[in-house]
Amino acid sequence: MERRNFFLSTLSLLSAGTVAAMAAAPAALHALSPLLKRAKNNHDWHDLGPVEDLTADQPLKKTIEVVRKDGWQLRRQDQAVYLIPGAGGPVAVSSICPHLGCPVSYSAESAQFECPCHKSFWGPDGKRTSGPSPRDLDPLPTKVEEGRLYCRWVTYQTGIETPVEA
Amino acid sequence: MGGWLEERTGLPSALRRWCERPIPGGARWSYSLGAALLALLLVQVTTGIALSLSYSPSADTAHSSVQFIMEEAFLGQFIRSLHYHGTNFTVTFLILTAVRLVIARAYRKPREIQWLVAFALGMLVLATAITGYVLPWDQYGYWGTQVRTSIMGSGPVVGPRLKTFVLGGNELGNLTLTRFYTAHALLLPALFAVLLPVYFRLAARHGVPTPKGGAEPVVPYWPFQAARDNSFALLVLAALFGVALLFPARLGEVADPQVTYPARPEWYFLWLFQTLKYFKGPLEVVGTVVIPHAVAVVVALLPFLDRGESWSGLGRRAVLGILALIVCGWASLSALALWEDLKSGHFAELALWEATPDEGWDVEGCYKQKCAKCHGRDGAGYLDSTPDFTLPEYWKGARSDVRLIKAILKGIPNENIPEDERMPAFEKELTPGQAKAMVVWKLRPFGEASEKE
Ligand code: FES
Repeated sequence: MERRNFFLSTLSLLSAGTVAAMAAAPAALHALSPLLKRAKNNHDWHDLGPVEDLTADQPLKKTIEVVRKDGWQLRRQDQAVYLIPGAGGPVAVSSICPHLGCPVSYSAESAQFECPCHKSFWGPDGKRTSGPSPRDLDPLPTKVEEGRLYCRWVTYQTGIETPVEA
Repeated sequence: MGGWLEERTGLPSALRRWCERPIPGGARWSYSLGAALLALLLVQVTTGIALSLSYSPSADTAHSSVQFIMEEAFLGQFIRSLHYHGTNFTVTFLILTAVRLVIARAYRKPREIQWLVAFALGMLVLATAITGYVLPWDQYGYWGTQVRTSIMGSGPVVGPRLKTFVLGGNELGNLTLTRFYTAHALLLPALFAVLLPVYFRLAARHGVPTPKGGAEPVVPYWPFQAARDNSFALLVLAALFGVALLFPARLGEVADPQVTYPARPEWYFLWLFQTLKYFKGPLEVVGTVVIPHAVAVVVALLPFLDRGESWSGLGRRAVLGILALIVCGWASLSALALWEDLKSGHFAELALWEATPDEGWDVEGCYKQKCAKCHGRDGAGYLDSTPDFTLPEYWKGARSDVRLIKAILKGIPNENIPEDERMPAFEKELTPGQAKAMVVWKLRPFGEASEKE
């Protein structure tokens, strides 16, 4: 009798547990799926024009159209990139604030980049000067082909000290 | 009849027990805060269901469906206003109820579990409120959620994963909306509906805690406390209906990832916004994670921190001290945040966003006189650097009114363009309302006209 009781209780508990798991598991895995597959947006190269036209003595704003997979949709979105004059030609940086992701803009009057959200500032070279941003403006990959400058959009994780692709 | 139902369900006697439960110390108005909270939640549920009939969660449809609710759906504007202001009412009464329960020390033995359940219910209400803000997909909700989830993402260890999970990917978009909608309208209310009966069961079991003044006189709940509860709830709902009628909820401009909206958290989280200013760099987690969680943990664990039986002991004074600290901290940080915004011109900036087109103003005349010489009578523009307003592409990608209003008022000081070709600032000549009128009645129609052709 004792044995039988134990067996039946175990069976009943196990069954109930499995029923609960069967009800929960598919839904839970589905909900967690964004974590399982890292859907990286691999963006195309954008032609920004002949390099000599892009060499100014202060940051130059360019807008590129970024295509992004947004759920069931391909979304086209304008994104600003800044070309910073550098020794080896212009360097591209992202206009997304490394702090919490607001758009950064360059102010010619004060000769600095500024983020309106929590007042982060960067020098005209993109180096952090003050504010809560944890790092310099994020670099974007560029390449020069046949005298033209190309740049690729990258989204970075915000709020951490090193730029890591999101 | 009663006997028949009693035999089959036991409901009549349960109802009788609920009505006859003793209220030690007599009926009080302060007990009715919870009843008002419940009534408000009821309105949130009914208006929420009504809104869901016309709402469509996707980046393309969310904003226009809310616009449809407000402009065309029968009673839509009113229902949305009820739901919107109802949130503020609900949070207010949630805070008041919590403060009352702490002062009454309603968490003490044997009500520890009841307190934890109440705490969980309160957190569910807050979570439901927060997940609701992004749904209209306007600038306010978009940027508020952007900042909140970024804060989440900068949290330690699980932060980035939590953010990806909540957003349904790396960025705010369609899947963020569907996720937030599910949480706001399905998951969180379902959890609430499961926990609420548990709370009532425990409340019925333990009864009303004896107040400080002693248990005499004892009166039954019905009709003494019930009359207060129900009439107070009625008053609160009347106030909510009044507010919803007088101050219709607004819908901001459609979300535009290119135009930063000066996002501020809702009033009850303004204190966190202020705290964030004091903790920078590696210390930021103190402001974003440590402090808010510490406050929540202290409140949740009150029954285990304050176990004294007597009313005069150290425990009570300590608890009242903590409570006063939290309330004062909350109030002063919030006030400071408002004050600093006032000083820094935040509200002037907000005025640009909230500008309504100035009606009695000669848009045409102003355009001819001030704009046409560069932008052309047809809006196509004469110079290399002027945008072509007649191109439908120009208006694609949610080009925000505010971006244009700012350009009109502040000009575009682009050094790469010769000085006499730059967009000048019209701040001195035009008001925000006039600039808005220019955008919606003159500039936008250029694009719309050519789209129809
Ligand atoms: S998002 Fe740029 S400073 Fe906070």
